[in-house]
Amino acid sequence: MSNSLGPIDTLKSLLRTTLRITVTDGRIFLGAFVGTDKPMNILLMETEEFRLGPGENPNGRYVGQVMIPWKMITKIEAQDEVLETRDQLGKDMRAGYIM
Amino acid sequence: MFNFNPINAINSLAMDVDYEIPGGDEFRDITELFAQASAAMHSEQMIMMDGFSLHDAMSALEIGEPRLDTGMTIGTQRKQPFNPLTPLLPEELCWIIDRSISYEMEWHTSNQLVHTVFTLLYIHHFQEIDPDMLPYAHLLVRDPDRPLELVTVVLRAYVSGLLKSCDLAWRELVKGGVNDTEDWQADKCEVSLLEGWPVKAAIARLKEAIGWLMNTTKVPSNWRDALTLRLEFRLSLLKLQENNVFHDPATFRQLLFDARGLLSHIKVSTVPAPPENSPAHTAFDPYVARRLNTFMPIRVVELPPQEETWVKLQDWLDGWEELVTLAKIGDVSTWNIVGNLCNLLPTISLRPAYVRSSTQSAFFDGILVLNQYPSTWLVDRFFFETLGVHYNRIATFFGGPGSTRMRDVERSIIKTIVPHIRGQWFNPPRRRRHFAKEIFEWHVVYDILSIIITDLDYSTLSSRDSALVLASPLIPLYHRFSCMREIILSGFQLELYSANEKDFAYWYAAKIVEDQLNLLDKIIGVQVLLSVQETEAHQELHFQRVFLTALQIMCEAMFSLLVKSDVPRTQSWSQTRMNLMRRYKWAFLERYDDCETLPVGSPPRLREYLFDMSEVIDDELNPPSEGFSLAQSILSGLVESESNKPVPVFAGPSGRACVGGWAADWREERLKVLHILIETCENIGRVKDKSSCPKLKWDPKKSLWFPLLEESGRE
Repeated sequence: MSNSLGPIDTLKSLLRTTLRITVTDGRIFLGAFVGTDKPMNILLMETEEFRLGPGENPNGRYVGQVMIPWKMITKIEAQDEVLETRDQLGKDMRAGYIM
Repeated sequence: MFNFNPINAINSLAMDVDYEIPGGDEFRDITELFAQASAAMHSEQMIMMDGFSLHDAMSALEIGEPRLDTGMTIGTQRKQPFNPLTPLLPEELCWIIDRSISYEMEWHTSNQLVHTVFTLLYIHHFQEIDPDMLPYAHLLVRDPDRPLELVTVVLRAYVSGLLKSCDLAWRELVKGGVNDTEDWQADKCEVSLLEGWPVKAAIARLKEAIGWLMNTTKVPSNWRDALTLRLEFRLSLLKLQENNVFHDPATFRQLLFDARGLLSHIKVSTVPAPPENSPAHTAFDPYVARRLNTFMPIRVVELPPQEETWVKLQDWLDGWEELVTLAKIGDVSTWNIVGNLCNLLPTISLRPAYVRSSTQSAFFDGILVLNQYPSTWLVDRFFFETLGVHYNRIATFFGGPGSTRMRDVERSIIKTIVPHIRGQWFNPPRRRRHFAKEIFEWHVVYDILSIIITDLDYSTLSSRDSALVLASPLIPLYHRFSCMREIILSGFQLELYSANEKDFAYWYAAKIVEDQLNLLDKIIGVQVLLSVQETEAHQELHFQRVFLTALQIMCEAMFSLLVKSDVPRTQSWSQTRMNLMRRYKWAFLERYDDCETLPVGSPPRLREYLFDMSEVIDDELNPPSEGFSLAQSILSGLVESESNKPVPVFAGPSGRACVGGWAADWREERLKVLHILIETCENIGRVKDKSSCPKLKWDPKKSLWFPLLEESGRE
């Protein structure tokens, strides 16, 4: 994830994009990233909750706007496509194609 | 020769699913990026999307917070995974069915579907147990005690019947007669109640399952009978729900009779809970809400003992019995009396919301009254059932029914009567609030009629006709007084009043009843003049006059007893006055200023209350016990005369004229009310003087609106 932006700016560039967050009890949340703070409480909108396994809900359920505390999070993922576009933008900026 | 464990094979059928990671594989881990950003941020810094404020963030659901996060699993809540195709013993199936009925009844007791019916996991795996989807599954099960058809044929049919029953109930409840979140809970969490299935399809499944049970040799006969009973009972319930009480009352009654018989058999064949390691226990998940589309916090509904479920079902059937009896009665007053009695008698528990809603719909379905009359029919009943004279006879003097002058009257009568009767089947607090609003509507009817009758030239009318026209505004007033009395007295049943408010409530009730008695004298006078003494209307008013006389005496005696008691008041008069203004705000409405006629019976005259209080305190000659004794003798006389009354010619074969004119088949219930009041008079009448210092206890389940002496306080 090499680009010219610092971690805070990189995070800002991810606002509105879809994040996939896995939490300690195995659930997976898929929602639009709308904000965070220093303790890394992550806010997602239009979120769906998934629980994999027999008798669970692999089709997901809508939970709307959620705040996931850092202590609950085991993994945060962003879409490749978004990251690649952003990486390309970083490269273009370094190469001077974009001023 | 195949060599495999059949249970594992079945498990693999249901569980061999390749779970796809939600969102797909094209995601990259950026957890480290967040950690770096956190380290770089200063303590107050926040990163927010444009247009998204901290205030917006406050409404987010916190994951990991057990009270809000319905999806969170706490260690103790984890249970064995559920496999819908696990073969079951017939007794396990019976237990599951009985338990699901208990949950169904809990839904009808105003719990959430997600906490009750939907905890049965087969509902969420309905397609997976479809025998058409598993043509060879039964070949895999070799356990002769656990034929797979018990799940795929019997249980599936039962679940379809259960869901369809809930669907039919949901459709009735959503009509709006009873209140969502108050009387019942509508949230379906996007789970199907087989809305797309015709009832006949569920009935066909049940019949097919019954047929399989009858012919199979795979199930022991005792369990085969037990299962058949349960399926047949569900079948009867479904048919009852589908049938309209008006279309074929005879069939409805037969179905009710059958359902009662089946229920009595089920009651005696209680199924013990299966052992702890039985797969039947995995069939229910009280935490199922965590994976359904709902924001409802998890609540584990504790099921009552099975006997209680049967009692609730019995109550359900009783409600239907009452409905089918009512449906054949075309007298609005009888509906009103029955509604009142349901709220009054401690022996009749509040019917389930579904039955109450069905009763409301049976009375008025939005178009027709009692499935056959236009709403204008109510106007005729309004006059006929109180005055004993048809509306035509009154309307003739003003251009006839439907004339321009009478249209407002008719509209306002219909607008008031329909919600009034339907309101009798609200829950008790809602009913009381509804009546508090309704008394203004009765005043509007009274106001319009009072204005209309002043325009008439009475010199051209006979004395009878004049009396008839002049009496017409008294009819809405009579109903208004009845409502006011009910609002005040039902406050005792709902245990609304504090110790400081009780004496005023009895005083005000006594005043209202006194006004109503004066009104009754006038109406009865007109009835006599019109020679309608042989009508039910006259019988009813006569009954009411005697009953209300006793009630007024009881209220006055109770007021006197409370005022004379040594219990000190904990409020100043100004505080009490403020409280009364709030408690009786329905009587102090400013809207009455919009009407030409002054309201009768409200607002209460607080000065008169204080004056009566001081008089009672000084009055040594009329102890309250004498009042109760007098009321008791009046009520006993009424019971005796009404019980021994010969059935009048007009009453018809059911003897409906007994105990008032309109009690119909509910005469026994009406007599019960009188008996309760007689017992109350006898009980409180024991207090001879102030020195005996009675300790009174208000228990609406025992004595309606009046207290009883506590055991220790008895002489």
